[in-house]
Amino acid sequence: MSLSMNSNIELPTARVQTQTASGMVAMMVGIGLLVALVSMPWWAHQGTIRSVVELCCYIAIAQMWNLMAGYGGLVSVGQQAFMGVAAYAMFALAQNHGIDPFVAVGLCLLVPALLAVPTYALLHRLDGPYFAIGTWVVAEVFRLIVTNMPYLNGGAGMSLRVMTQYSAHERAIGITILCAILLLVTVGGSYWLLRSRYGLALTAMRDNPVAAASQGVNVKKLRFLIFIAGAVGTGLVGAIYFMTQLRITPESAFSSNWAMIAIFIVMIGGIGKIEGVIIGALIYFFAERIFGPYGSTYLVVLGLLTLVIAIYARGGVWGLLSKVVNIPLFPTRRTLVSRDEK
Amino acid sequence: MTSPLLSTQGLKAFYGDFQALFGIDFEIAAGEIVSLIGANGAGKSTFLKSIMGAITVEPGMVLLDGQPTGGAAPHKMVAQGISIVPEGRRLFTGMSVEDNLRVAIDHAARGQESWSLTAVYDLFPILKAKRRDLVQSLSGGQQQMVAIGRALLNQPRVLLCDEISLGLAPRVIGEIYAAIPSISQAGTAIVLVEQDVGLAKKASDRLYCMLEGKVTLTGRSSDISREDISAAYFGVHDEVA
Amino acid sequence: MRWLDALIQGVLLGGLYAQYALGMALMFGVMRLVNLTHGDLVVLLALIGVSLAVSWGLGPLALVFVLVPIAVAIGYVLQRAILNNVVSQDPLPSIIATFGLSIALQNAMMQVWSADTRSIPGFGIEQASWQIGPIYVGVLPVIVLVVATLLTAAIDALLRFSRFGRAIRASAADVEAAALTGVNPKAVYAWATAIAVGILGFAGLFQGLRSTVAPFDGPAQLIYAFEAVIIGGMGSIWGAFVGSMVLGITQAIGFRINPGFGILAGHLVFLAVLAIRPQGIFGRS
Repeated sequence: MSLSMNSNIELPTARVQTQTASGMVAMMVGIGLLVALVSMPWWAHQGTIRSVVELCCYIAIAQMWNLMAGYGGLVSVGQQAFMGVAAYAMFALAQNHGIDPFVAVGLCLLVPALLAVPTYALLHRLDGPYFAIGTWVVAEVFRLIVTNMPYLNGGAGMSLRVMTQYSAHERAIGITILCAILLLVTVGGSYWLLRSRYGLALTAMRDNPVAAASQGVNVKKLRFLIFIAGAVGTGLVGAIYFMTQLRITPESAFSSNWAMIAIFIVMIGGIGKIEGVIIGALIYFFAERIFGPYGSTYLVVLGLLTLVIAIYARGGVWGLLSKVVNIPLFPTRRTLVSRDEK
Repeated sequence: MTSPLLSTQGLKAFYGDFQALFGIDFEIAAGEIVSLIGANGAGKSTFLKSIMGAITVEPGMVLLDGQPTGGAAPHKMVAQGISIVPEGRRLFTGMSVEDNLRVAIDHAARGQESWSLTAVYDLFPILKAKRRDLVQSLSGGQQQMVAIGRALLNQPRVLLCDEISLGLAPRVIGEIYAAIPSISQAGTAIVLVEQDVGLAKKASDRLYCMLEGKVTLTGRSSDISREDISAAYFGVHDEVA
Repeated sequence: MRWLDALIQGVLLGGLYAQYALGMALMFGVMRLVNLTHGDLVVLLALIGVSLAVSWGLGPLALVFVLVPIAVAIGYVLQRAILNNVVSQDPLPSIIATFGLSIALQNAMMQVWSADTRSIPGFGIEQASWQIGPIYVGVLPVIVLVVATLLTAAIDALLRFSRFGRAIRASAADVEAAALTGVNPKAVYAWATAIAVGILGFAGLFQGLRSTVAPFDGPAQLIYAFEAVIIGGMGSIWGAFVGSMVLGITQAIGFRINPGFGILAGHLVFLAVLAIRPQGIFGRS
């Protein structure tokens, strides 16, 4: 009996598919929303524009925290550090050096990027909870240093007077475009990252760093890069937010409220998922708008809700919803489909 | 056997979705020495963990004095008179030998007072000399003695020994196993989990052999032949691969 | 002479910080858990002290006997009801859970006590001082330092010699093995936290006496506790004490240099320790 290789054997061919129907719909809607955002200066009130800008900032800062904590395992309660330094850098470039504010928003990002390196070097050996408090200390250090810098007008803060060179309408156009860029970079960028091969490495790292490392994922380097990316993304939020405010003080720039906002949004919405960030941002945004005027009780509720979710429902609202229906808006799960199937 | 001190009935155990034990029937009477042999992954340690409550199982699957105790928390099992010499010893590093032993004394089962610190030091004299040393500075064999002493000071009615010979030199294994008869004479039932078949056979009254989560052989240690054990240990069946 | 004065003030400040740091060191040593509400609990206990002093006219000594038991109870319930659910290898749930609780607690305190700063009436003890040569040494700070030293010694002795201390050390070394040796981990954790928060009963009283407290002061106290533990070296009770002294002295000297620089000086020394000797003064590398 002879064994012969049958060269006519048909092996089933397969491809990896990530996109889903709901994902396509969501992408269409998303593009539509971005277009609507950029067109707002022509049909919306100033107040509405400010609210939408604030919502965009919430989404962006939360997504940066989501990336660092949900995938990098870097839980921070001090992202206000990078918000503040970027915003102050932007103000300084615009007010003290006459650079166009919209250009300054881009240039200022060098500062959080550079400061993130020694910050990470100092903190990364600390255990999880101590790392978190360490980031808070860094934010406090930045705040105290800025308060004592005459170059930045110390505790009195700075005003972005150079913006008066633009009309209100022109400012609105600039800000909404920046917001659209912000969302594309933070949310879109995260999504692109998760769909790329780095996304696989990140997910592996999240699930089991030791196993991931054994498969060749450079965990240390990836964590470091995520921290830098998170710092820069957070910085961009800060620059845009305070450009809208036209005024910055050390208290507001380095306020720990930002950490609170990011954590509430991500945990209540659903950690590790972009859909969770969007849901969480909407929940927080409307809770603040509706209940804020009655005092700070809504924060007690949100705080307790975060506590309960951290213990009993770690996937947040989106996690609970996903158990019932599976309609990912930002699909990242890779499925193997035979080429014969649609 | 009239009524066993400890028994399991149809014991099933899972790690998440993975089933490790497929219905183990086991029993041991007071003063007996029973060994449990099998290859790596057969489920021997899982079996001991199920008895100790380190793994959750249904209550009725583990019976102590005829009462269901499956799934009870480990410290409750200790209080009821079951103690374990864990796989890998699991001593409290950073604490002295005597402190390791005192933790067991602090949390011993009530009722009998078979074992005192002095008695343990008589059993393993080297520990008395090293009693103030940190446990991590001891040799493997000495650490095993501390682990056994610690389990004894819980005043067990049933002592579970999980691979106490692992990683030890033959002479040291001999020293450790020489202590087993004294422990049994004090009235304690002993379950010996071992990979070394010869050791297990010699030291025990009865034995069970496990393979892939099931019992493949059981009987009096002196009556079972090497061939029977080989077949049960490796699972050689009639069919040809 | 200004510097000697600063040194003494710093040591006395360190005594207060030691009472913050002890509990944190204990909880982290046993459970690898950092309770982010640690600072808020100091504030809560101080505010409860304020209310009790105002409503019932209790003096500081009487307050000790009321606040510390309340604190112990709070710690026990906190651990049993909430924190026992988040003790695990993964630090995220404990950080988030205690963070959420911290925000809730701060804002709840706001609702009850409003944002006004308050202090506990000390009936003169805040101003009393001894004169040693040209220096005035406050009576209260010395009491704080003595209490801190006694508490540190007591906790150290508890860990070394008592049944409960052995159970704590065993749980810290290998909690599964401890359970297999008869230790009930949930109970050990609950009492460890009860002790940790009980110490904060003293700390809250002293902070309320020497200074003012307001609902949102918690995070600052948390940071001081954390810095003291890191500087002194994790896993060491006397390390927490020494780290507190270093922090207190640094802050006091910083204040002498420039009033705006005091807290920042502490932060900078902390970062320097992280950079140069991350295991802390007494920590093993």
